[in-house]
Amino acid sequence: MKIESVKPTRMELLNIRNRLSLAEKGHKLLEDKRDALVERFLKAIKERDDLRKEIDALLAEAFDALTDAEMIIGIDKVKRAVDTAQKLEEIEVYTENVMGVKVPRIREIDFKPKLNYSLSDTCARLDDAFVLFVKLIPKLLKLAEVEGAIWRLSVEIEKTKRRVNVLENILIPRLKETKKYIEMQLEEREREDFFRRKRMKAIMEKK
Amino acid sequence: MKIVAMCDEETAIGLKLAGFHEVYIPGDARKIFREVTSRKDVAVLFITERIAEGISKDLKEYLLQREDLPIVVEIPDKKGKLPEHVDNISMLVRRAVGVDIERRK
Repeated sequence: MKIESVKPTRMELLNIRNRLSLAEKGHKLLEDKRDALVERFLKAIKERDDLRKEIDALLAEAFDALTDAEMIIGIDKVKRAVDTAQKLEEIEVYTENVMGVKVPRIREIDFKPKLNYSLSDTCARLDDAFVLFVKLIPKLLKLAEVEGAIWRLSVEIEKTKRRVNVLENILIPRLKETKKYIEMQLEEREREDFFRRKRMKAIMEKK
Repeated sequence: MKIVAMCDEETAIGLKLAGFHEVYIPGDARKIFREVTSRKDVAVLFITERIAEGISKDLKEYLLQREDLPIVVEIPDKKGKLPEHVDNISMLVRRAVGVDIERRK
């Protein structure tokens, strides 16, 4: 809204005052929302970092065991054994509402698979690998959940930040400016009026 | 819902052992990535860093649009973590907060 396009009237001033207070209220609310989101976000990042470290270590260990198994009994046998591996059950995903942001959550599963391959054909290192991978599954799902949350939150934070900035840097200053302009115009008119009356009085008295 | 992975052949052996529902060894990573991410029955897509690096553009695009599932998670492959690989979650963090977050002990 350009300042010149406003009629400096009392009605308009009231209007602007209302809009300004509304914008300020909204600004405060959005700022609170942003801060709360960021807090949650930082918590998720910390959680993710810890999980990541854990998973990276476990994964390396599991792959080591697998490589050993491949070297001991040969890659073909490992592949055959792997093909018999039991598949995970289907997982369930639901959403949780965090300050208006829909964050995905994965229902924990109780996964206790059995070894399906023949023991005589394989070696102990393959069992090690198997155990490690099974241990990894819930952690990986947790990581997915946390990264999903970070993903959603980051989008929302960006949006909120933009809104806060628009209010803070554009809308509110503009409204303030307009308000000042109208107030000054009104005052000026009042002074003019006052002076005119005084002058009139002086002229009348002279007659 | 399903857990799906995209990885190289060697990593695939491990992930199959872990019981992943579907493991893809992509020839055309882009095509498979598009296919999987547009499916409705996939909850999580694990993707190795090496492959993620190759399709980083598509990955970024996917992360910035407003889709809920699947969640794409990058994991190191059998050869270990890539040095100097910036995963996409870190990119999102930088976009949202404006700075890299590093934690010191």
